[in-house]
Amino acid sequence: MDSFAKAVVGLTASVLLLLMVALPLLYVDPPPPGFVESFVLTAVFGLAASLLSLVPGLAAAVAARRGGAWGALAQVLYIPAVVPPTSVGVLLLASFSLPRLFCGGGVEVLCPSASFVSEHVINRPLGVLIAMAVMALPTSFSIFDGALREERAEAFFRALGFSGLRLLLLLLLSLRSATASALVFSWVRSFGELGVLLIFASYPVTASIYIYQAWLSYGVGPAVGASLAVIAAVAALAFVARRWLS
Amino acid sequence: MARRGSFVVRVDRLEVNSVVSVVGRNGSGKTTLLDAIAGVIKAEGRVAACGRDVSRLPPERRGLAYVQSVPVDPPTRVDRFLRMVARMHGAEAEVGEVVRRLGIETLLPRRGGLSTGQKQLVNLAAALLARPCAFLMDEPTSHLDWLNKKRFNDVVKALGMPVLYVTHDPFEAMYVADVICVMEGGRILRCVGGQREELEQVYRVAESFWSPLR
Repeated sequence: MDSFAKAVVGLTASVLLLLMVALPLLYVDPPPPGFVESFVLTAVFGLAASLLSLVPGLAAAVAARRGGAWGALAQVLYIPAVVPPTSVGVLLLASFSLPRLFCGGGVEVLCPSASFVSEHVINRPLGVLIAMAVMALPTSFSIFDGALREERAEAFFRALGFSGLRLLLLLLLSLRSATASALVFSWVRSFGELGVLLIFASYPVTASIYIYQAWLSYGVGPAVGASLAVIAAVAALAFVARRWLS
Repeated sequence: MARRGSFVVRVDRLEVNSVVSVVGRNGSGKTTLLDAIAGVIKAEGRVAACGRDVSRLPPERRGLAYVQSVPVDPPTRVDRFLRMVARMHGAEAEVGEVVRRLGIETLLPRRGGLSTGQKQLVNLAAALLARPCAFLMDEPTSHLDWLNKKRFNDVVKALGMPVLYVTHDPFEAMYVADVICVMEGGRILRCVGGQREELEQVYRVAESFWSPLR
């Protein structure tokens, strides 16, 4: 590696380590109760959401490579990445609150949907999964889009006679490095998701909500402790997963 | 006629009954031509394969195997992948023969870690097992070393099937093809007969460089 590049990497990494690890260590206090639960919950829901995002992300990347109207439509998957996460939370909340609105307005056929949403979606585990999956889509999409630029696997498998879901599954397996990256990076990203969860699904408590609440209730020290624990655990798990998957 | 952005490929007629090579410089429209024939991009006009008009069919129903310059990773273990393709096309009995023909027996239990040349041979095996009417090959040897290139091209020459073989290397075109068409600016300028005999001598000499090592 070129010495200038080494200097830039060294400087950037040092500044980040200083700001995000070394200096905050001066404040560190043990995290309040509930850290492990929130971490495990985020890991499980993040993994499920990442898995759910793979096929739609890949399908959108395939469509984007083909261009035309479907290619333009595929760009919609970038929306969660380019608007503030709080906006995504507000928009999801508004959409899922519609049955209740109409039910209250006399459209009784929507009342079962309204009660399902309030019992099972908003501020419920399913809501966490939906929010995380929505936020994972842009990551999967962009990684597969990049992979398909390099390798024209779709044309090869289609010419062999594959189509539909089978084609997408073959692409997922063939582009395994991209699939692993999409899985790991969208999973890691789920730990950083606050805005959408805060508004749409703040319960059960995920890692970001837990840190936010720790800061509100106990101050900087316990929140720093929890943040550093998340950084250490996620970085280690992501490293191991990336090595294992690729 | 096919478009890619503002670039237009216009070919009045191109008949492929043996190995036909299209040579041309970068950006002359070779890949766009193959994509249009394969159905990967939209094209105006008529594409016939297996004695039928396939112009309106999607790539998976055209019966045209498409081997690319960057070989695709087999999605599963090589043997499972080849069996999967063969099963789909009723060619299960041919797996062994295709594997022997391409000399890839040792690759069968492998899933990852294949070299580019090995992957390209696996791609060709899968293409053969799809029982296509013709092959489209887009610079299939551009990432291969000379010996693997020769091995791949020897298989292509022995296929006995229509192959539209794109390359920017005129020597390779002369070695592999019966007819060589020159493409420039999105058009086929001329087609001439391949000239193999002299070149095969050159190839034999080149191959002898490796002979003590093999």
